[in-house]
Amino acid sequence: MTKIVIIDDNEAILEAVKIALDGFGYEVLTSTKGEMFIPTIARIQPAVVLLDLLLSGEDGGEVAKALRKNNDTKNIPIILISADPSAEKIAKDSGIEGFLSKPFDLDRLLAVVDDCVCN
Amino acid sequence: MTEISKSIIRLSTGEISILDNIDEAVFVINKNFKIIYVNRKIKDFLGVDKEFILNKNLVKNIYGLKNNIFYKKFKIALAESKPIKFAARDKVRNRWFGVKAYPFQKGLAIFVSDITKRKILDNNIKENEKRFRLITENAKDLISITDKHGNYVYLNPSFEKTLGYKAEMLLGTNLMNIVNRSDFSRLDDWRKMEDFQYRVKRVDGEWVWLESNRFKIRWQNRSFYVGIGRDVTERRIAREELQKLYSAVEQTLDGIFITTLNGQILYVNPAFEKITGYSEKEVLGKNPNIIKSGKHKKAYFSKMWKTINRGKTFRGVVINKKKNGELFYTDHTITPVKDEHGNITYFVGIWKDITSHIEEEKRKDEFISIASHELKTPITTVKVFTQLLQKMFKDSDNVEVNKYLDRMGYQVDKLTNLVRDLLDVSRLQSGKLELRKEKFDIGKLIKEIAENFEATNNTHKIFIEGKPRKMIKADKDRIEQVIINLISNAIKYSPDAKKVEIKVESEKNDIIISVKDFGVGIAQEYLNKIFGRFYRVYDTRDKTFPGLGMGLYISYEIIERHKGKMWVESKKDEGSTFYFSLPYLG
Repeated sequence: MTKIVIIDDNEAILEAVKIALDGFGYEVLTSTKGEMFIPTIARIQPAVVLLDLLLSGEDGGEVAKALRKNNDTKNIPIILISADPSAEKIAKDSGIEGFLSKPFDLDRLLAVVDDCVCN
Repeated sequence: MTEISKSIIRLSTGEISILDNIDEAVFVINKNFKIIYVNRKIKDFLGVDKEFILNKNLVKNIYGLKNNIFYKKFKIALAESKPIKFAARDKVRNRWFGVKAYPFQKGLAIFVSDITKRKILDNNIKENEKRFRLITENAKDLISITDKHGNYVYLNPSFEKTLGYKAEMLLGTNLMNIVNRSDFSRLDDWRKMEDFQYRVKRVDGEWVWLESNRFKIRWQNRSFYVGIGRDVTERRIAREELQKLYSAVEQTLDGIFITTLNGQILYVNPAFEKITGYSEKEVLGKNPNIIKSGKHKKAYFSKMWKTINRGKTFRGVVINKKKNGELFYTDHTITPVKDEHGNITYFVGIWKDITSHIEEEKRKDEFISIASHELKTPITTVKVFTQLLQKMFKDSDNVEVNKYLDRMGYQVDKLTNLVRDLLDVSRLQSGKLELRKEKFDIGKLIKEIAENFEATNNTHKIFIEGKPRKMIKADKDRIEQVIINLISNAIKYSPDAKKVEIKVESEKNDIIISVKDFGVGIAQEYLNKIFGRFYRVYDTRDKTFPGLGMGLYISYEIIERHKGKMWVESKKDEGSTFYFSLPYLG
């Protein structure tokens, strides 16, 4: 089964996305922490990492950079999630594969994830 | 023949003439005007010697005597044999002569005295009197003369005119009857006043303010007091008005300063001192840039100078620095003051300290920004679960579940838009709204939006006029937001209409799009307010329409940031047409 990691400090979002993606045949692992979860990501090698830009006590952008630096995770596609639509530019500029603006449609979530997984 | 003439003849025939020593010139002429006697005094009168003139003809040989008044009078005296006495002016010599002529058998004895000096003196007195009259009668000042008890003996016409009395009403009465006694109590002695201001009662009972001087004169051994006053009522009113304005300027909480054309400070009010921390003494003669914060670009102030030097008023928010280094925000107005020829003489600056207001706005924007972020997370969750349920029940027969889920989805979308608008407003306020421009066909976009509207809304039909294929460079999502906003407003504010008209027009550099409705319209006085933040339109029945009043503000700002323009034409109860223009090339 295709593994997907989602990192967000809001448990309700994690639960919703997990349930949604579970139902479409993905195996979803969730975390409220960013940096601390990188070794796990490196180990399980998910097809994609969904990462919220605004984490409590952490900057999602920094987590993305750390993932890119790590030899074991640098090739894993990242989808940045933010309530701020202008963050899409930051995502594109830092070479991040996908962007989701909150609140997002289920269809759009599936489309962005599919897109990353297939590539 | 009189005794005098006889004596004259007798005396004159003597060897030494005592007549040579008197002050008068004496001639004796015969009936043919031949001078048969003349005394030495003649030299003083006519400038010729006695010997020269003797035996000459008075009329023929003395220049200027022919046919003049003297000759005529002498002729009458001779003809009627009557002594005469008269005074006349010798026009040739420009002298006044007093003449006495006594006829006798052979002729006429004439005594002439020079009365020029006396005449001039008399004349002067008369002239002076006339002049004095003219001055007092024509003076604008109120002139009155009283006796030593203060009873009026003279009032000039200006006194009558200003106070409305006829002179005869006041002559003989005491001045205390018409003056304000409490004003006079400030005076030690009513007889002496120097630029003293007091009130006098006009005939209609109104008080008139006079500024007067009073002094003593002696005339015919009696003392009189002359009062010369001027109506200063208007001046006092003007001064009181000025005083009022001055205290307003001194007491207002707004900072006020006046500068020369070069920007030298001439005046600052107490509020200026209080807010900036600089005392008046410290800033007088200095340039207002001593409170410059350095937060503005040079161009900002050069634009300001350009505006005020052209005679226009400058308005803007200026960040300044207090003496202690603290920054403060001011809503600044600088107005040029012009003289009667239209030349700028001073600049007056008025500013309101809006620091706390700006800080409050910043906190509010920050709050909106955080709140909308916080709202987005639960909305996302609800949205995902709603859509998940919709997918799960898509193929089910349970119509009600599907209907309810659709309702939920629709409301979640509305909530999403509201939160998006709130965030947009806060971004626009803090200048953080970013545009992502791309090339797209605006005609196609309009068509798609219209189709979407018609698919979800069955009350209004949307007509599109004009060539709908137009490529422009702009932020597609934002322009879509503007068009959706205008169409939904058009539908919302025309509940009784059935259509909305969209028109696409091409100009040289811009495309102009208009959205026309046939609804409640907007009254003229609100037209310039509707693009303001949180402004909402009410219809005549005071019916409120849903919404927070953010849509037009956001739309307007989006178009402005695209270097386009948005405007409206509207008539109450007939409908509105909203226009916006966009440059093709972004």
